[in-house]
Amino acid sequence: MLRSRRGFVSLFFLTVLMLCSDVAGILLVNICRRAEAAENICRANAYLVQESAVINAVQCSLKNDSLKEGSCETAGTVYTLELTGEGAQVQILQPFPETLILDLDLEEGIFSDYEAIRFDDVSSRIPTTR
Amino acid sequence: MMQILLGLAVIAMLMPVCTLSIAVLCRQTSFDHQIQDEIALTQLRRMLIVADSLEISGAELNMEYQGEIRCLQMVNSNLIMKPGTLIFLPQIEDCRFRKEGNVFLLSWQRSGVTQERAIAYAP
Repeated sequence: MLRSRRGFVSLFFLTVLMLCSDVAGILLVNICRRAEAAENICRANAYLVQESAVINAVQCSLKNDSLKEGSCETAGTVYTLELTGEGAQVQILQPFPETLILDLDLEEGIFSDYEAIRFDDVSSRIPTTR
Repeated sequence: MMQILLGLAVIAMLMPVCTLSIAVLCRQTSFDHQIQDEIALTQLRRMLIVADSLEISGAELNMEYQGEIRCLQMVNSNLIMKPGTLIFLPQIEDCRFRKEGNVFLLSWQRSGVTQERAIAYAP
């Protein structure tokens, strides 16, 4: 009985091709995820830079007892400051719009913490299912 | 007999490809300290924005954070914030702080590779 072994080479290469495709696919997904993480970190650091500039300016004004409401600019960051009962609310207009809620003790001149509300938050970019 | 030999030949030929694939996958799926370090440093920068009175003392960075005196230092190969055990950089070999102008820099060494990042700005 004759058995045909035609197709052995193509089957072998098909197996290798599938294996390589799988590995390449996994690598690509991994690289994409790392790139996305790096991009998110870059964005977070860019936000932190402008937050740092604004908070340093607010702290300086607070310590000099010259904190005033209105529009200001510091280190290339444009913002408006509004005093509230619990501290202050800062609307950063440029370069990356966001809102900062500052916990300030205006009488003691102490800045304790802040909360950032970012408009391009990842959670707000998740598409909704219909 | 022929079929067994053919099967062994196929296995022998596929073995190097499989070994290489597994090696590449293992390297790619291993824990990535690089990304994790950057995330930790972003969190540290956020804390240092709120902190006040930053001061380098030897291999430590002392600060006042939310009314408490805190210290960032290397303990048992981890960069931690004391009091407490808030770990920022795990499994490091060395860690140093220095100030250049108004910028505080943190340099650390892991697996023989030294890296340095700006962590705080104190005008």
